[in-house]
This record gives sequence, structure tokens and C-alpha cells, in this order.
Amino acid sequence: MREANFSDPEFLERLRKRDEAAWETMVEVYLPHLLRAGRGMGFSPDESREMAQSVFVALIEGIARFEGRSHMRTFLFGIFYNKVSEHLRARQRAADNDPIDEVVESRFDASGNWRQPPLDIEKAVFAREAREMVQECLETVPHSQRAAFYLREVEEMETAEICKKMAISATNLGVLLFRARNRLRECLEKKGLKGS
Amino acid sequence: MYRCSELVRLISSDEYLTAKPLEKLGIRLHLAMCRFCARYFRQLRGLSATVRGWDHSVPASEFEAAKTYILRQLSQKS
Repeated sequence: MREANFSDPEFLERLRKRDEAAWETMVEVYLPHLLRAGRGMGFSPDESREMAQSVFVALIEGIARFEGRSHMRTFLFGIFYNKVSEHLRARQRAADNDPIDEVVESRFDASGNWRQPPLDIEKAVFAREAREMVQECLETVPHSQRAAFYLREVEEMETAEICKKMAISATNLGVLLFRARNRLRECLEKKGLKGS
Repeated sequence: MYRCSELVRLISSDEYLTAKPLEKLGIRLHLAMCRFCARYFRQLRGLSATVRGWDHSVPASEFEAAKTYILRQLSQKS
């Protein structure tokens, strides 16, 4: 409901005039989402905060260019994902080879049947109290894989949208998700085994 | 008929979501017959549900720190 007002010419005018109350409303509505997304994608609390802040600073500087034709949310998150992909590019390029590929491969025999079937870990790792364990395993997932995983699983975004936001192809996204999920599952299997 | 290794790739990369009807049928048949692949599939779905169900909220102190910074920038830039 409040969202609808953000592209309203009157509200935009207040933002352009740097009306503090108007900006405060923007911050209250969008900042939590940005902070959450940064952390969910595997950035540290400090990095997430710096990124969210810089998104708002960019918005403050660029608000004159926003004409209200798109949704404010789309515009703001556009800036955010640009910053995310800058970070991801700077921190790590998607590797052609990832050790997890071999780990998964080694679970199958030459004809593609399970040599080492997945262990029954549901009870150990998907219980409510196992959050810490899953969180720890999530920390082992490299950044770009984790970002893809977060956008898909938590934000529940469609493939096309994630590809656009992360500036990657659908094939690449598939590889990132494959690696993220298998790395997570392998880690949980090890931990679940220790715990049982 | 899919091999288990192919099925694991199709599932974990989300490729199965965009598979053609006949391929989807093949995937479903395989899952119905192979308990290990079915288990693998169940685990990935469980993982999604688990992560999705978490409270992803951010500590209030972090929010306040960022808010203060942003509003200070606003007044400095005007």
C-alpha cells in the first residue's frame, strides 16, 4: 500500500527536495530488505551495511533522474544488484572447475548409478534446531553460488530475473545452483553423520 | 531413461523445472523407482523449505547504524 505512493509525483518531489521525513520513510521501508539480502548472499554484516548505505547514497544523488516510470523498488534494487555484481566480479570470477563437481561425480559409477548413495540425513539436519549447522555449511558456499541460492530459495525469484540481476546466463545459473546445493548437502551429510 | 547422475544434475541445477513434458515424465518415473534419487530430491526440497522458513531479519542496531549514516549523508549533500 505504502509502496504505491513512492512513485507518486508529489512524493518524488519531496525526495528531490531532500525532505528528511520522506527519505526516512524510504529508509524504513527498503533498508531492512537490502540489509537482509546482503547478508543472505553471504556478505558480512559490515559489507552488507556498507553496500546498503552506498545504494541509498547513489539514490540520493540520482533521484533527479528517476522519473517515476518504473517502480521505486525496481529502481532501488537495480542499483543494489549492480553493486552486488561489482562485488562478485571483484571477489571471485566463476571458476570453470570447482572441487564440488568432482565430489558429486565420485558418488556415481561409470554407468551413472549411485556408488555412494545420499545418506539419510533429514532428521539430523532439517530439524528446527539445526539452523546453526545449516548456517555453518552455508558459510562454506562461495559468494556467487550463495547469491544465486539466496535469490532462488529465499527471494523465490524466477530464472530470468536472477540471470538479469546477476548478469549471468541461465546455464551459468544452473551451474551455480548445482554447486551451491551439492556443497551444502555434502557439508550437512558430514555434519549430520558426526551428530548422529 | 535417465541415469542417477543425470537426474542429480537436473534436480540440483533446477533444469528439471524447464524440462519438456516427456522429459518431466522420465524424471518422475525415475524418482518413483529409485529410492536414492528420491531421497536426494527430498533432501534438496527440505533444504529449500528450511532456509526459506528462517527469520532473515537483521539486528535493529545494524539497521539504526545504517539509517543514521544515510540520513547524515542526505543532510550533507543538500
